[in-house]
Amino acid sequence: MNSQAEKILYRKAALIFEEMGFLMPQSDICDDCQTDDSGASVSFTGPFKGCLLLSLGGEILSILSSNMLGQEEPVSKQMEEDALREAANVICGNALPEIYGAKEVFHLDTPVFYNNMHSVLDLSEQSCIAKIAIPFECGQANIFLYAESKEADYVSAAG
Amino acid sequence: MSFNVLVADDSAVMRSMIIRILRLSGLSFSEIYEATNGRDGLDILDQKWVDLALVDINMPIMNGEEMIDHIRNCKEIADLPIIVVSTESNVDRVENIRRKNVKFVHKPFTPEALRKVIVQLTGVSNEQPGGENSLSEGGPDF
Repeated sequence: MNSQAEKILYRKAALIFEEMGFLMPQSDICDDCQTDDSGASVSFTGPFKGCLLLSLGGEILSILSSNMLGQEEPVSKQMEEDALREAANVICGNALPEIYGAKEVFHLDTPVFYNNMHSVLDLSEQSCIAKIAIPFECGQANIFLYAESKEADYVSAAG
Repeated sequence: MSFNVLVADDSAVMRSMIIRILRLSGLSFSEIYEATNGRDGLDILDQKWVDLALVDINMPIMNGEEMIDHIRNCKEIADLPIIVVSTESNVDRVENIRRKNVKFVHKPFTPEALRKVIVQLTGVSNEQPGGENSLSEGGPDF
Protein backbone atom coordinates (compact mmCIF):
# COMPACT_ATOMS: atom_id res chain seq x y z
CA MET A 1 0.00 0.00 0.00
CA ASN A 2 1.55 3.22 -1.11
CA SER A 3 -0.92 6.01 -0.70
CA GLN A 4 -2.85 7.45 2.19
CA ALA A 5 -6.04 6.67 0.28
CA GLU A 6 -5.09 3.01 0.11
CA LYS A 7 -4.36 2.89 3.83
CA ILE A 8 -7.73 4.42 4.62
CA LEU A 9 -9.54 2.15 2.17
CA TYR A 10 -7.88 -0.94 3.65
CA ARG A 11 -8.66 0.08 7.23
CA LYS A 12 -12.29 0.90 6.49
CA ALA A 13 -12.90 -2.21 4.38
CA ALA A 14 -11.24 -4.54 6.90
CA LEU A 15 -13.41 -3.11 9.69
CA ILE A 16 -16.56 -3.52 7.59
CA PHE A 17 -15.78 -7.14 6.70
CA GLU A 18 -15.16 -7.78 10.38
CA GLU A 19 -18.28 -6.04 11.70
CA MET A 20 -20.71 -7.09 9.00
CA GLY A 21 -19.39 -10.51 8.11
CA PHE A 22 -17.18 -11.57 11.02
CA LEU A 23 -14.30 -12.07 8.57
CA MET A 24 -10.84 -11.36 9.94
CA PRO A 25 -8.12 -10.26 7.50
CA GLN A 26 -4.97 -12.36 7.33
CA SER A 27 -1.52 -10.91 7.17
CA ASP A 28 -0.34 -12.54 3.95
CA ILE A 29 -1.67 -12.18 0.45
CA CYS A 30 -2.74 -15.58 -0.80
CA ASP A 31 -1.14 -16.21 -4.19
CA ASP A 32 -3.17 -19.35 -4.75
CA CYS A 33 -6.50 -17.80 -3.86
CA GLN A 34 -9.06 -17.50 -6.57
CA THR A 35 -9.91 -13.88 -7.24
CA ASP A 36 -12.49 -11.88 -9.13
CA ASP A 37 -15.23 -14.48 -8.99
CA SER A 38 -17.88 -11.83 -8.72
CA GLY A 39 -18.02 -8.16 -7.99
CA ALA A 40 -20.08 -5.10 -7.36
CA SER A 41 -19.58 -1.48 -8.30
CA VAL A 42 -20.85 1.70 -6.69
CA SER A 43 -20.75 4.84 -8.80
CA PHE A 44 -20.73 8.19 -7.07
CA THR A 45 -21.02 11.86 -7.87
CA GLY A 46 -20.09 14.90 -5.84
CA PRO A 47 -17.00 17.09 -6.10
CA PHE A 48 -16.09 14.65 -8.88
CA LYS A 49 -17.35 11.40 -10.38
CA GLY A 50 -15.96 7.98 -9.69
CA CYS A 51 -16.70 4.45 -8.68
CA LEU A 52 -15.61 1.81 -6.22
CA LEU A 53 -15.25 -1.79 -7.35
CA LEU A 54 -15.28 -4.69 -4.93
CA SER A 55 -14.50 -8.21 -6.12
CA LEU A 56 -14.45 -11.31 -3.99
CA GLY A 57 -12.70 -14.57 -4.72
CA GLY A 58 -12.80 -18.02 -3.19
CA GLU A 59 -15.54 -18.66 -0.66
CA ILE A 60 -15.69 -15.15 0.77
CA LEU A 61 -19.03 -14.24 -0.72
CA SER A 62 -20.87 -17.30 0.53
CA ILE A 63 -19.35 -16.96 4.02
CA LEU A 64 -19.93 -13.19 4.13
CA SER A 65 -23.57 -13.50 3.13
CA SER A 66 -24.25 -16.41 5.51
CA ASN A 67 -22.66 -14.50 8.37
CA MET A 68 -24.52 -11.29 7.57
CA LEU A 69 -27.77 -13.24 7.71
CA GLY A 70 -26.76 -15.31 10.72
CA GLN A 71 -27.37 -18.53 8.84
CA GLU A 72 -25.22 -21.62 8.87
CA GLU A 73 -26.65 -23.01 5.68
CA PRO A 74 -25.79 -21.48 2.28
CA VAL A 75 -27.93 -18.55 1.21
CA SER A 76 -29.53 -18.06 -2.19
CA LYS A 77 -27.61 -16.63 -5.13
CA GLN A 78 -29.88 -13.59 -5.03
CA MET A 79 -29.06 -12.91 -1.38
CA GLU A 80 -25.35 -13.39 -2.07
CA GLU A 81 -25.51 -10.75 -4.78
CA ASP A 82 -27.39 -8.42 -2.45
CA ALA A 83 -24.81 -8.98 0.30
CA LEU A 84 -22.01 -8.10 -2.11
CA ARG A 85 -23.80 -4.95 -3.28
CA GLU A 86 -24.42 -3.88 0.30
CA ALA A 87 -20.80 -4.52 1.31
CA ALA A 88 -19.60 -2.39 -1.61
CA ASN A 89 -22.07 0.33 -0.68
CA VAL A 90 -20.99 0.43 2.96
CA ILE A 91 -17.28 0.41 2.08
CA CYS A 92 -17.74 3.24 -0.42
CA GLY A 93 -19.95 5.27 1.91
CA ASN A 94 -17.43 4.99 4.73
CA ALA A 95 -14.22 5.41 2.76
CA LEU A 96 -15.04 8.48 0.66
CA PRO A 97 -15.60 10.94 3.53
CA GLU A 98 -12.45 9.82 5.26
CA ILE A 99 -10.34 10.06 2.12
CA TYR A 100 -11.75 13.32 0.81
CA GLY A 101 -13.06 14.97 3.96
CA ALA A 102 -16.34 14.76 5.87
CA LYS A 103 -17.49 18.12 4.48
CA GLU A 104 -17.59 16.83 0.90
CA VAL A 105 -21.04 15.65 -0.19
CA PHE A 106 -21.08 12.49 -2.26
CA HIS A 107 -24.16 10.85 -3.71
CA LEU A 108 -23.89 7.12 -4.12
CA ASP A 109 -25.80 5.31 -6.85
CA THR A 110 -27.48 1.98 -6.28
CA PRO A 111 -24.74 -0.68 -6.30
CA VAL A 112 -24.59 -2.99 -9.31
CA PHE A 113 -23.59 -6.65 -9.29
CA TYR A 114 -21.33 -8.04 -12.01
CA ASN A 115 -20.15 -11.54 -12.75
CA ASN A 116 -17.23 -10.17 -14.69
CA MET A 117 -17.08 -6.51 -13.85
CA HIS A 118 -13.87 -5.48 -15.56
CA SER A 119 -15.26 -6.39 -18.94
CA VAL A 120 -18.43 -4.38 -18.35
CA LEU A 121 -17.29 -1.11 -16.86
CA ASP A 122 -15.81 1.69 -18.89
CA LEU A 123 -13.20 3.23 -16.64
CA SER A 124 -11.15 4.80 -19.40
CA GLU A 125 -11.82 8.36 -18.24
CA GLN A 126 -11.03 7.69 -14.61
CA SER A 127 -7.80 7.17 -12.69
CA CYS A 128 -7.31 4.34 -10.27
CA ILE A 129 -6.41 6.20 -7.09
CA ALA A 130 -6.42 3.22 -4.74
CA LYS A 131 -6.08 -0.49 -5.25
CA ILE A 132 -5.97 -2.87 -2.31
CA ALA A 133 -6.20 -6.58 -1.61
CA ILE A 134 -7.44 -8.03 1.66
CA PRO A 135 -6.63 -11.68 2.23
CA PHE A 136 -8.89 -13.88 4.29
CA GLU A 137 -8.66 -17.55 5.16
CA CYS A 138 -11.39 -18.29 2.67
CA GLY A 139 -10.24 -16.12 -0.25
CA GLN A 140 -9.27 -12.62 -1.18
CA ALA A 141 -11.10 -9.32 -1.59
CA ASN A 142 -9.87 -6.78 -4.13
CA ILE A 143 -11.02 -3.19 -4.00
CA PHE A 144 -10.39 -0.46 -6.56
CA LEU A 145 -11.30 3.19 -6.20
CA TYR A 146 -11.54 5.12 -9.45
CA ALA A 147 -12.07 8.87 -9.72
CA GLU A 148 -11.84 11.60 -12.32
CA SER A 149 -9.38 13.61 -10.25
CA LYS A 150 -6.02 12.96 -8.77
CA GLU A 151 -5.91 11.74 -5.21
CA ALA A 152 -3.47 14.42 -4.08
CA ASP A 153 -5.94 17.18 -4.92
CA TYR A 154 -8.50 15.88 -2.51
CA VAL A 155 -6.91 13.99 0.35
CA SER A 156 -7.66 16.27 3.25
CA ALA A 157 -9.18 14.36 6.09
CA ALA A 158 -6.45 11.81 6.45
CA GLY A 159 -3.94 14.34 7.70
CA MET B 1 -45.40 -4.19 25.67
CA SER B 2 -44.98 -5.32 22.11
CA PHE B 3 -44.11 -3.21 19.09
CA ASN B 4 -45.00 -3.08 15.44
CA VAL B 5 -41.89 -2.16 13.49
CA LEU B 6 -41.23 -0.99 9.95
CA VAL B 7 -37.84 -1.67 8.34
CA ALA B 8 -37.26 0.34 5.14
CA ASP B 9 -34.10 -0.54 3.22
CA ASP B 10 -33.57 -1.47 -0.42
CA SER B 11 -31.14 -4.25 0.56
CA ALA B 12 -32.87 -7.53 1.45
CA VAL B 13 -29.75 -8.64 3.31
CA MET B 14 -29.67 -5.46 5.40
CA ARG B 15 -33.38 -5.80 6.21
CA SER B 16 -32.78 -9.38 7.30
CA MET B 17 -29.80 -8.33 9.43
CA ILE B 18 -31.83 -5.61 11.13
CA ILE B 19 -34.81 -7.91 11.70
CA ARG B 20 -32.54 -10.57 13.15
CA ILE B 21 -31.08 -8.01 15.57
CA LEU B 22 -34.57 -6.86 16.51
CA ARG B 23 -35.61 -10.43 17.27
CA LEU B 24 -32.45 -11.03 19.31
CA SER B 25 -32.76 -7.76 21.20
CA GLY B 26 -35.00 -9.17 23.87
CA LEU B 27 -37.71 -6.64 23.09
CA SER B 28 -41.11 -7.92 22.13
CA PHE B 29 -42.34 -7.34 18.58
CA SER B 30 -45.77 -8.11 17.20
CA GLU B 31 -45.37 -7.35 13.52
CA ILE B 32 -42.28 -6.46 11.53
CA TYR B 33 -43.10 -4.88 8.17
CA GLU B 34 -40.57 -4.52 5.34
CA ALA B 35 -40.34 -1.83 2.67
CA THR B 36 -37.80 -1.54 -0.17
CA ASN B 37 -38.13 2.24 -0.58
CA GLY B 38 -39.66 5.28 1.06
CA ARG B 39 -42.86 5.15 -0.99
CA ASP B 40 -43.56 1.54 0.04
CA GLY B 41 -42.77 2.54 3.61
CA LEU B 42 -45.33 5.35 3.55
CA ASP B 43 -47.93 2.99 2.05
CA ILE B 44 -47.41 0.60 4.96
CA LEU B 45 -47.66 3.46 7.46
CA ASP B 46 -50.92 4.45 5.79
CA GLN B 47 -52.40 1.01 6.32
CA LYS B 48 -50.81 -0.37 9.47
CA TRP B 49 -50.11 0.85 12.98
CA VAL B 50 -46.34 1.13 13.45
CA ASP B 51 -44.56 2.00 16.72
CA LEU B 52 -40.99 2.28 15.44
CA ALA B 53 -39.41 2.73 12.00
CA LEU B 54 -35.85 1.91 10.93
CA VAL B 55 -35.07 3.77 7.72
CA ASP B 56 -32.16 3.73 5.27
CA ILE B 57 -31.33 6.99 3.49
CA ASN B 58 -30.16 5.89 0.04
CA MET B 59 -33.15 4.10 -1.45
CA PRO B 60 -34.61 4.20 -4.97
CA ILE B 61 -37.99 5.78 -5.85
CA MET B 62 -38.18 7.71 -2.59
CA ASN B 63 -35.16 8.11 -0.33
CA GLY B 64 -35.19 8.01 3.44
CA GLU B 65 -35.00 11.78 3.96
CA GLU B 66 -38.09 12.35 1.83
CA MET B 67 -39.89 9.56 3.65
CA ILE B 68 -39.04 11.10 7.03
CA ASP B 69 -40.19 14.55 5.84
CA HIS B 70 -43.54 13.06 4.80
CA ILE B 71 -43.90 11.36 8.18
CA ARG B 72 -43.07 14.51 10.14
CA ASN B 73 -45.58 16.50 8.08
CA CYS B 74 -48.41 14.02 8.59
CA LYS B 75 -50.08 14.78 11.93
CA GLU B 76 -51.30 11.19 12.49
CA ILE B 77 -47.76 9.80 12.47
CA ALA B 78 -45.62 12.90 13.00
CA ASP B 79 -44.31 11.62 16.34
CA LEU B 80 -43.29 8.19 15.07
CA PRO B 81 -39.93 7.18 16.61
CA ILE B 82 -37.44 6.75 13.76
CA ILE B 83 -33.96 5.29 13.62
CA VAL B 84 -31.94 6.12 10.52
CA VAL B 85 -29.56 3.30 9.59
CA SER B 86 -27.20 4.60 6.92
CA THR B 87 -23.65 4.85 5.61
CA GLU B 88 -24.03 8.63 5.39
CA SER B 89 -20.94 10.29 6.87
CA ASN B 90 -21.10 13.86 5.65
CA VAL B 91 -21.27 15.93 8.82
CA ASP B 92 -23.77 18.47 7.47
CA ARG B 93 -26.12 15.85 6.05
CA VAL B 94 -25.99 13.78 9.24
CA GLU B 95 -26.73 16.90 11.30
CA ASN B 96 -29.58 17.79 8.97
CA ILE B 97 -31.03 14.29 9.36
CA ARG B 98 -30.67 14.43 13.14
CA ARG B 99 -32.67 17.68 13.18
CA LYS B 100 -35.67 15.69 11.95
CA ASN B 101 -35.92 14.24 15.45
CA VAL B 102 -34.45 10.85 14.60
CA LYS B 103 -31.72 8.67 16.04
CA PHE B 104 -28.82 7.81 13.77
CA VAL B 105 -27.01 4.47 13.52
CA HIS B 106 -24.07 4.38 11.18
CA LYS B 107 -23.39 1.36 8.96
CA PRO B 108 -21.58 -0.86 9.72
CA PHE B 109 -23.07 -1.34 13.15
CA THR B 110 -22.86 -4.00 15.80
CA PRO B 111 -26.07 -5.66 17.00
CA GLU B 112 -25.49 -4.21 20.45
CA ALA B 113 -25.14 -0.66 19.09
CA LEU B 114 -28.48 -0.92 17.30
CA ARG B 115 -30.13 -2.50 20.31
CA LYS B 116 -28.94 0.35 22.54
CA VAL B 117 -30.51 2.93 20.27
CA ILE B 118 -33.76 0.98 20.12
CA VAL B 119 -33.88 0.85 23.91
CA GLN B 120 -33.05 4.59 24.13
CA LEU B 121 -35.82 5.46 21.74
CA THR B 122 -38.52 3.15 23.03
CA GLY B 123 -37.57 3.36 26.70
CA VAL B 124 -38.24 -0.34 26.94
CA SER B 125 -35.69 -2.96 27.87
CA ASN B 126 -37.15 -6.34 28.72
CA GLU B 127 -34.23 -8.53 27.84
CA GLN B 128 -35.07 -12.19 27.83
CA PRO B 129 -33.15 -14.08 30.47
CA GLY B 130 -30.06 -15.81 29.09
CA GLY B 131 -30.30 -18.36 26.33
CA GLU B 132 -28.93 -18.43 22.84
CA ASN B 133 -31.44 -16.01 21.48
CA SER B 134 -30.51 -12.93 23.42
CA LEU B 135 -27.94 -10.25 22.75
CA SER B 136 -25.46 -9.84 25.55
CA GLU B 137 -23.28 -6.85 26.31
CA GLY B 138 -20.36 -9.03 25.35
CA GLY B 139 -21.06 -8.75 21.66
CA PRO B 140 -23.00 -10.18 18.79
CA ASP B 141 -24.41 -13.65 19.01
CA PHE B 142 -24.40 -14.39 15.30
